[in-house]
Amino acid sequence: MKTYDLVIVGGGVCGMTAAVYAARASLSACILEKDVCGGLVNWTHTVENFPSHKSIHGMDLMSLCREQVEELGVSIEEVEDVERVDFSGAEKRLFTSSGEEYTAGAVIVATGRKPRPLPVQTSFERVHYCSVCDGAAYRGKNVIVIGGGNSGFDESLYLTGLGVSHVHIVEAFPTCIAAASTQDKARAGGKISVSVSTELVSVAALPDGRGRVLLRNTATGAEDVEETDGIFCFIGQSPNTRPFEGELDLKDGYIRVNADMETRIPGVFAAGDVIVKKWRQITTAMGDATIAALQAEKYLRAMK
Amino acid sequence: MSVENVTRLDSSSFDDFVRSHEGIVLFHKKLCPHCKVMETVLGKVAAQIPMSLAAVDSEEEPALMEKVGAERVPTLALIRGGEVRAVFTGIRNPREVMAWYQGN
Ligand SMILES: Cc1cc2nc3c(=O)[nH]c(=O)nc-3n(C[C@H](O)[C@H](O)[C@H](O)COP(=O)(O)OP(=O)(O)OC[C@H]3O[C@@H](n4cnc5c(N)ncnc54)[C@H](O)[C@@H]3O)c2cc1C
Repeated sequence: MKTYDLVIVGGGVCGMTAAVYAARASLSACILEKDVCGGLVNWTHTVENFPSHKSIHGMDLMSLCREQVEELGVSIEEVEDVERVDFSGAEKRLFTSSGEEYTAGAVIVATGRKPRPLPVQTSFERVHYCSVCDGAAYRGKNVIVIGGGNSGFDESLYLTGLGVSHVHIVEAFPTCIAAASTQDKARAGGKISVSVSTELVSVAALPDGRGRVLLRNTATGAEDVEETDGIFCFIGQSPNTRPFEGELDLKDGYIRVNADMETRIPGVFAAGDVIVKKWRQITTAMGDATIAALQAEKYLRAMK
Repeated sequence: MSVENVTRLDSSSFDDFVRSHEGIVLFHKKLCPHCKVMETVLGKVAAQIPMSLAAVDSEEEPALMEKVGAERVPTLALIRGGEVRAVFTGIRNPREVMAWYQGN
C-alpha cells in the first residue's frame, strides 16, 4: 500500500497542473495515469491557443509539463489504471491494474475523456483512432474518416499530407461542424470528399484485407457501397468515469462539481474535461486544476 | 525511447542485435502517443523479466519495418534464438506483454 496526502487520478494537462500546485504547497502527491502523462493533448499535432507558445506539438508541450512535475518531486505512476475506488472513509482508497492499493487524505479526479468507438460491430481490423500512429500505412491508398468535426477534418488533412490518395469524410448530420476555414482547406486540395447526412451501416472485411462499407443517406434512405483500405474514426469523446460510478454524482457520465471543484464527497475533487461544463480546453482544464488543488490543500490542512 | 538501457538500432546494427540478444525491439515513431505508452509498458516488463530492449525509428528505417512485416507503430518484435520469433502491433498492458514474451 502506498500513502500520499493527495492522489491525482489522470496525468493529462489537468492532473499535471494540479500536481504542480500540490507540490508547491508541500503536499506529498502522486499522479496515477493509465497510459502515459499528457492525455488528449498528446494526440493533438499542433496547439496554437496556449499562451506563451504560438505553435507547439501537443506531445512536446506535455513533455515540458511532465518534466516540471517530476522535478517538483511528485510521484508519477504510469500504465497504472485506477480500476476501483472506495471513498467511504476519511482515507480514500484507490485500487489499480497492477494490484496496488493507494490511500490519500484527498483525491483529485482528472480522468478526462476518451474517443468514442466506431458505432458498428465489425471484424474489419483496419479501424483506427490515431492518424499519427497508423496513417503512414495508407500512403497511396484510400480511407474513410468517420466524423466531420474539427478532429475529422484536421486528421483528414494530416492523412492527405502523409500521402494518402483519397479521404472520404462521412458525417451523419446535415452539416459538418468543423471550422469553416479548415473545411475550405480540405475541400480545396481535391483529395478529400465529404458526405453529409450519411450514416455508417456496416463494415465487412474482404479477403484481400480491404473493407466493404455500407453507407446510408439519412435524408433519402439511399444506400451506397464503398470499398476502402482503412477507416479512421473521430466521432467525439466520452468521459472516463467508470471507476467512480456509484461513488460520485454523475450527469451523462460527467462528474458534477461545485465552483470549488468539490464533488459530493468531502476530500474528493474533480477537474478538467471529466466534469460537467461547457468549454473543454487546455486552459480551462488548467483553471479547474488550480482551483481543485488549492481547495484540496485547504481541506487537508483543516483535517490535520 | 525514454526507457533506460535501450539500444537504438538501425539497418547496420539490427541483424547483429538479433543474433546476439534476447529481448524486444520496439518500432516506434516520433509524436506517436501509443508508442510512448508501449515504451513505458516495456520498461515495466523489463523490470520484472531480464531482457534486452531496443528501439527502431520506423520513419528513419522503413526497410527494417518491412523486414519484420510491420506496417504500423507501435510494433514489438520478440528476439530469441538469433531470430525474430514473433511480432505484434498495437497496445498491450505489461501482463499481456509478459505472457506474449514467455509464450513465444
Ligand atoms: C483532437 C483534439 C484536439 C484538441 N485541440 C485542442 C487545442 O488545440 N487547444 C486546446 O486548448 N484544447 C484542445 N483540445 C481539448 C483538450 O485536449 C482537453 O480539453 C484537455 O486535454 C483536457 O485535459 P484533461 O487533463 O482534463 O483530460 P485528458 O487530456 O483527457 O487527460 C486525462 C488523463 O486521465 C487518464 N485516465 C483516464 N482514466 C484513468 C484511470 N481510470 N486511471 C488512471 N488514469 C486515467 C487518461 O489516460 C488521460 O491521460 C483538443 C481535444 C481533442 C480531442
